[in-house]
Amino acid sequence: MNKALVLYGNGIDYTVSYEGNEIITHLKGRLLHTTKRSHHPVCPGDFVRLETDGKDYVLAEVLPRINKISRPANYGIRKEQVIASNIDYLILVASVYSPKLNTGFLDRILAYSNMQQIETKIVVNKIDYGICDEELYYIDGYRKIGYEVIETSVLENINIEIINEITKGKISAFLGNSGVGKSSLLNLIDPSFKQKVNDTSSYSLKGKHTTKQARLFKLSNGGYILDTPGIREFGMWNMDFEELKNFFPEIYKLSPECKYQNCLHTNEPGCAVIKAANNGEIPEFRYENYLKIFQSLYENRHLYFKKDQ
Amino acid sequence: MKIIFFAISLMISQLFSRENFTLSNFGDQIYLLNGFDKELKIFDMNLTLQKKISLKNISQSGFFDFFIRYDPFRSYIVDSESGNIFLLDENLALKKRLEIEKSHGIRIYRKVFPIDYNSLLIASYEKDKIYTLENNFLKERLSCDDGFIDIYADRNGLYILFEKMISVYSPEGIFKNNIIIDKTKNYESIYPTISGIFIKSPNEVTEFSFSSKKFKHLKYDGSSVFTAIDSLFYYFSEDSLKLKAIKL
Repeated sequence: MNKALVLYGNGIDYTVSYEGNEIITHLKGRLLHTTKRSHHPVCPGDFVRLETDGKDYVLAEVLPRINKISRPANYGIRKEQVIASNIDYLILVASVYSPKLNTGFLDRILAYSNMQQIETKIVVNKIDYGICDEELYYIDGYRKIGYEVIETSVLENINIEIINEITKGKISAFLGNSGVGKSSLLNLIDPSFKQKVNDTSSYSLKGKHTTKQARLFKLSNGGYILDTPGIREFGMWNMDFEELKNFFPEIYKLSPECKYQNCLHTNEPGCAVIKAANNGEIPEFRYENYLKIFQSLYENRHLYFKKDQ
Repeated sequence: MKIIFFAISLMISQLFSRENFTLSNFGDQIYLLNGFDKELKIFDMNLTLQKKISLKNISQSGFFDFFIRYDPFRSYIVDSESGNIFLLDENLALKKRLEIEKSHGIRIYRKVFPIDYNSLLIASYEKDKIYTLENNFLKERLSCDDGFIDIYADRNGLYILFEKMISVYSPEGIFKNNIIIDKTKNYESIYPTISGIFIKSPNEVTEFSFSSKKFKHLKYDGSSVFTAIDSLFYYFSEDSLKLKAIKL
């Protein structure tokens, strides 16, 4: 079988890594018809089967995905935009300043990555600005739950070697708001990364490059990195509001202690999670974010929750 | 009569708005300057008084705002109101008087910092400009849109305290980075060491660690006058009129 790895594409043409070479393939017409529920049926990280007439290659089949990162498409409600798939590590990048650390955004993605069973690491960048007490509280909170939090500074080259080690030989996705320094981090891991980005980018803004399209890049350490667009709103595609509790590890752990088996941890009597949030056993901000995400999932259940058929 | 009272009250308010005491250090010695009495006390790191020196012969008039030692042979004393900086020798005797206001027409901030053998870093009284003075040539290095609160410079760089951040510059004046601080703390002065930066707010000192990038807060009963050597924080208690130290 002609198996290839999708690096990037635009919905019709895809650049894939095939037998050590990068080649451009076209999406087979049949695949275009399977996109009723999905915006971009093929995404970076997909393993695909190629067909060839000896001259050109056609992307004929997307092989089963181990996991995926997706969000509701900006246009056409109920359509899913798959950003990446088959991810070994999701590297969630936040920064301490400009933009400030946004736990609401982090917790949405953490819940989603738990659902998709993607191992996730949190990178807190720009620590050269200093980590204030509030951010320290968040960082300690995530560490207490069991997440690995890596504090980095591109400017002062702090802990970049840890990111390099994690990404070695793996497919990793970098996810984070615009301006947190994802591209700068990647540049430091692989100095040729910037050139690779510029070579393939068709976007520029007054000379300053900003990632606009998700792409998988081969790094000099043998790994693949997915550089994703800055995301303002992360939709919880395919998650049921009743399932959310299972994707907050600290809440999931306490659930058996609740009075009611089907407790949703919002306002039920005898809820062990509410009790733990009140006495500081679980970080207050996590519980607040749980409630916010729960509410958003409940209100948008017709939009987000659409189980795979 | 009313005019005389007004003039006296204005003089008193001006006098007490200035720091009566300042602290600095060089090597393992701590210098406590009593600017009003023009007296310098030298302590060792165990807070034992080693020497008491009268500085009245340096200038009969005025008030001393700041003392800093650059090396065993050069120290500087500032009288910001008169716009003079006094260069002292190894015996802390007057070597040279630098009349900044008279020569260059600028009012100076009360702190000056020797950054090289014959080079001083000076700031404007309005706290919006930073200059270097080399062999009597004054050169503007930085201009701040928002006035700074305090500055400190040493061989490792220049640290400018603003309401919301500390801007760090290399010794060559190249911008390195900003450190964001909590503006609600009302920070009033800054002092860098090898391991980090101390920032003083009313009754509290915050240490920013260069390695961990984290802030550590410590409440204390001190004044705004402080210095630090390694992890020892020295301050002058204006209540007890004693020099004290805290290990952070």
